[in-house]
Amino acid sequence: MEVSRVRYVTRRYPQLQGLRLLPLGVVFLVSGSWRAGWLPVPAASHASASAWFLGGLAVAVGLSFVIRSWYTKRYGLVSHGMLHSGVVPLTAMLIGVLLATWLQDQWRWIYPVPTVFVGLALLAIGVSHRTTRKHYLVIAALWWSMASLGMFGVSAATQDVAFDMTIGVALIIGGLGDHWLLRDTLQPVSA
Amino acid sequence: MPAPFEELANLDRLIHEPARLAILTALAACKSADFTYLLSLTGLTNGNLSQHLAKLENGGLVLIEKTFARKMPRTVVRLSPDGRRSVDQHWRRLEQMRRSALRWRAQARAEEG
Repeated sequence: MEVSRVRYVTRRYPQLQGLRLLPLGVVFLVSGSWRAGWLPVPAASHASASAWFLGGLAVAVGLSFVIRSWYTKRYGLVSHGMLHSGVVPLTAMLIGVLLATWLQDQWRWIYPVPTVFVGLALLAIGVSHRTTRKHYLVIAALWWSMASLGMFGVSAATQDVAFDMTIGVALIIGGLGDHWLLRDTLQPVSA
Repeated sequence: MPAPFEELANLDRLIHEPARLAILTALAACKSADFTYLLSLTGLTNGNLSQHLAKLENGGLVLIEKTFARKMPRTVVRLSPDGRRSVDQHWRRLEQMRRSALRWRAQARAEEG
């Protein structure tokens, strides 16, 4: 067994429970499909569309807890101190996005700062963890492609569709990639 | 016997046994892990893992806590402070040995040439 992999997987075990991201990815894909007019549902008002989206998010979060229990039953449970849990990178990411949004509001740059920030963060994960999580390089490439659409004169409506679709596909690629890493390292325990 | 091999023979066998080293290395990367996680990580049977954990507990390297979660028994394992020090030290020694073995090989080749 590869020692660096044992350390890596144990350190990031909660973050590698990738199937938890899939329901969230599906919500974004459905949203993107609805925006693109691919779903045979009547056009809803902005308010009811938002309500459906938020409802979908709530269901996805609920499902992610069910999937977490499945992981615990199948592979067990690992506890980390606060500093080594997923809370720190998640908080840092959130603060970064908020700061980038504020900067964007201040300077109105052509290339959106929050999008650049998220793209750089994804690229950093893909590069620094390239032996285990190279799927983040694919996600970063997708993200940058989506972010560049505006430069090619793509309409705002199409960009909205691309935004939702990119998040949906990124969550699914990230989720499956992380899950496969876990699956290849750990052996499921039969009850 | 050349130096790297002497060092190898002097390694602490309680730690160096592959399954126990995997358990200790995993525990060094977290605060604690439950029995199921260690089973899935090592691929050992329940009985084998219990035996290894008992040895590590007797050696003062791990602390084992038996609790109940939703009426199901749960065994949580963590490294003792002594265990954490010993594992870190063990990996440092292995790294040093790896380096000295490389030096020894280069030296042997130079002498042959």
